[in-house]
Amino acid sequence: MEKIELVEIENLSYTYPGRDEPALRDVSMSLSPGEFVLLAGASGSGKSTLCRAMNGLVPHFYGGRISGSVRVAGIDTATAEVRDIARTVGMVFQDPENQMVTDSPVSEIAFGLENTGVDRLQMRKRVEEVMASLRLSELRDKRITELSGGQKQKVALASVLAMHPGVLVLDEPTSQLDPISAEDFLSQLKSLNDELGLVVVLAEHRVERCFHFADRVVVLDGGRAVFSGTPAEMARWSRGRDWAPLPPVTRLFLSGEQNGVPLTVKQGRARIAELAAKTQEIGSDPLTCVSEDARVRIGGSDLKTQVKGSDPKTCIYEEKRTKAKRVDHRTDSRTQVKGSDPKTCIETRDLWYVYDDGTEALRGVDLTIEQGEFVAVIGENGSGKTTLVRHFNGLLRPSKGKVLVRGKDIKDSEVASLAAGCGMLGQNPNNQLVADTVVSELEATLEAVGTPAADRGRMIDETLELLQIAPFRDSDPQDLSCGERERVALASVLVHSPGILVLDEPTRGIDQATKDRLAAYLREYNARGNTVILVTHDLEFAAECCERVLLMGSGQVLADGDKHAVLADSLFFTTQYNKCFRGVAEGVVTSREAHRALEALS
Amino acid sequence: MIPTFRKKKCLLQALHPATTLTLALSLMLVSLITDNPLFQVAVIAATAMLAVSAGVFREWLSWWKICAVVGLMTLIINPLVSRYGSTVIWRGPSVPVLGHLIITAEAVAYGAGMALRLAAVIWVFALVTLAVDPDSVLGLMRGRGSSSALLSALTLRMVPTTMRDAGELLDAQRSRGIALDKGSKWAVLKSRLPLVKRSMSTSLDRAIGLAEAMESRGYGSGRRSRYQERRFGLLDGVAFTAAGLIIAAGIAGVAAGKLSFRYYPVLSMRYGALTVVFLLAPLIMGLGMIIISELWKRSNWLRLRT
Repeated sequence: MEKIELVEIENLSYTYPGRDEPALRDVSMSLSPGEFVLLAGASGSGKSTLCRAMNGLVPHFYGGRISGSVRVAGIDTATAEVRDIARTVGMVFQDPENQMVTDSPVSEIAFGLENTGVDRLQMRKRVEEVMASLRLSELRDKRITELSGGQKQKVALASVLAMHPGVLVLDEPTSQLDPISAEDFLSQLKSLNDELGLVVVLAEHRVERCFHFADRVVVLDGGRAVFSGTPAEMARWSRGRDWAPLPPVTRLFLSGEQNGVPLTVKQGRARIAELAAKTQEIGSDPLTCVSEDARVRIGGSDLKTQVKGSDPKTCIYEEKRTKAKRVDHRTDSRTQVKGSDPKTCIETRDLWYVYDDGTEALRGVDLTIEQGEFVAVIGENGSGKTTLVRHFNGLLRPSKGKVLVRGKDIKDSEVASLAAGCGMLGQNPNNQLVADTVVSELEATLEAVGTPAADRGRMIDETLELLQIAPFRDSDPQDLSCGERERVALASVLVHSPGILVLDEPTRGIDQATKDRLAAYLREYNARGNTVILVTHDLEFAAECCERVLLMGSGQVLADGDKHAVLADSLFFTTQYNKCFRGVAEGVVTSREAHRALEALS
Repeated sequence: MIPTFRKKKCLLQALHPATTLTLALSLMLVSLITDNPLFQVAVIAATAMLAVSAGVFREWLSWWKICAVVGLMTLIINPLVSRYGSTVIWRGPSVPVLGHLIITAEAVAYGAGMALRLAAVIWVFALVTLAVDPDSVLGLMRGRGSSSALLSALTLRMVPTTMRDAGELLDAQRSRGIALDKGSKWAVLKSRLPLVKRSMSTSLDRAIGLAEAMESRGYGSGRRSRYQERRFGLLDGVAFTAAGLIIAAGIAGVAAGKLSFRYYPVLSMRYGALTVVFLLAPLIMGLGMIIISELWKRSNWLRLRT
């Protein structure tokens, strides 16, 4: 029996107007009904363009030069009516804010149906049906502006689902969501795929969130489809390559296993349990195996003080401690600091912040951060992470309580004057970039903080070298790629070497390679004795970079301490490595620790 | 931050959007056709009562700043440019364009009357913004009107987003040490000019994103159907009647000269027993809406007839 393909892409090449380089080059693929396809690849590899080609935005909306064909359910998207394509292919975009047309969830869901002329009775049925199936009914009377990011993305999904498309295309829909909202969103997507047989095409950087859902992974590189196959085949294909979009658990087993590399945490955990059982069978205590590794330590007195409730015998930690002496952050800081410690970099005392609409974003936060610490602030959306760090450079003023920077209460200090000591990079790096060239961008910062003119050239050169953007020194920042812009924005903050660096979601929407580079820069900056504070949803990134983790929820600090203690103690706010080794080797949170633990078990 | 529409359980939001708009328009209309400052005060008071009935009085009141700015400008400009009035209170020097400055008490009073009228219109507009769902107004429109209504609804919806984007941009620059508020006004303006380009670029990116999302859901591809089809109920009839009575009171008051108020050449007002009746008309309507609204909240019978 002949296989029916719902989406057929043949030799598709596409170049955006005004560009010389094609965004897609000779891409061919076909998708069968019910397939869940993950589009992976670095930033600028063509994922978003391919998504837009599937629903006709390329070339209908963008123009440009196109060759080859895209046929969805027999419709050629280059020549078909927008209305016909909209009925067949539904698309959910990256930023929920940019795709909401109306101001209420019900109207938003009905919007596409109205556009395609669906009659009222049918419309009502479909709207109610998708609201119920996506559990949106309780949001019926809310305004779109009152919804969280995750809820907005669900409304966006519902609005395309109501049009009964055969193909659902999603372009990084979870990039702005916290891990729990992202998990919830993707699980619903998978259940739609399973139950309704929808073709799902998902472009995503954070493959660990969805790799296990995919029937097929398509990897794009430079506009070409360089791989297409099952996740297991993808893992095999990735062996020996410098970089491949794989979840941490798969990367962990990639070098050792010859067959059947685990693709999910569940499989990874099973494999580790199997290895642990074998080690015990041959009479070797796994703990002894681990202790033979010179670079890891089991138990140990200093660890006992940090890991609450865990058996010190089964702890595997990196021996390297960057701080000679650390404060036990689990202790209530109110009992620790009353005066100002010369090592104390930032201190908050009973910090409260209430927004104009009455939202209590911070509720009595007591916190001490020492000079040279690398701290990650994690927690769900709306937990108060950003509100907290915006107090460190005076962007927000406490409703109650105090913020002390290097022992000085900053309530009367201006943001501009605090910037010399505390640099902050916000969620959108584009907000940082207003000058015409990269060099003038950096000069503007140095001028603002009053750096002598004689030193500026040297400082700019050093920063450009550090962040590997020297070749772009005379380029307009707006002409650079997403990852390059991120580095220029970071350079504009780092150029005057502020003693405290605060970054708010620096890994949002960037690929793994850019993320690895960023982690390296930040570690180097921290190693120079600077304090780095990172607000992030990316727990893998936080674990790799930071030493200390602060978990926030409902405007309060829920947990604060060594990353091993905080992440290992959390069910959801932890890394894939930790989930895999839980019960076998406690406290494993980073890639290096996981590899060492695995070596020890093997 | 200007407050915008929020869904509430109140009669004004439960009425057909056309009804609420008619009610608001009736207040706006009578404010425009009468010169009597007492009647303008009555219109503002009636609007305040409607805001109370809709549970948005605090938000409605916060528009006073806009009213104050616009009113103050009228109050200053009118006496400077007007040459009418017989009670001269100040003679000034000759200035280019305006000539000899003569301020009369009547011109000041006229400026104050105009300021009240503008305040009445602005506050009615505020009520519509706060109590009428923009999406339901969009649902009223057909054909070309729907595009304009959609544009207005989108603009309203994007206002908070754009303001947030602008705030984030300013914060990002401040965080780099760039002092945006220091020095003379020219220095402040100069330091903010480069941000305009970035702000425009962000807005453009958002606009493109939105246009993409709309096109991918078939917008502009042909005849549209409508999800919302609101029917008129008993209370819509009551509200329409109230709106009609207010308009009738305004027109009758002006026609009968019972609401007449002359600013020039000297201030004069004709009044009688009927003047009070005409002045009370908007207030009675406002009070009536508060009472009906409270009854509506308590009575299933009324709610089922909305």
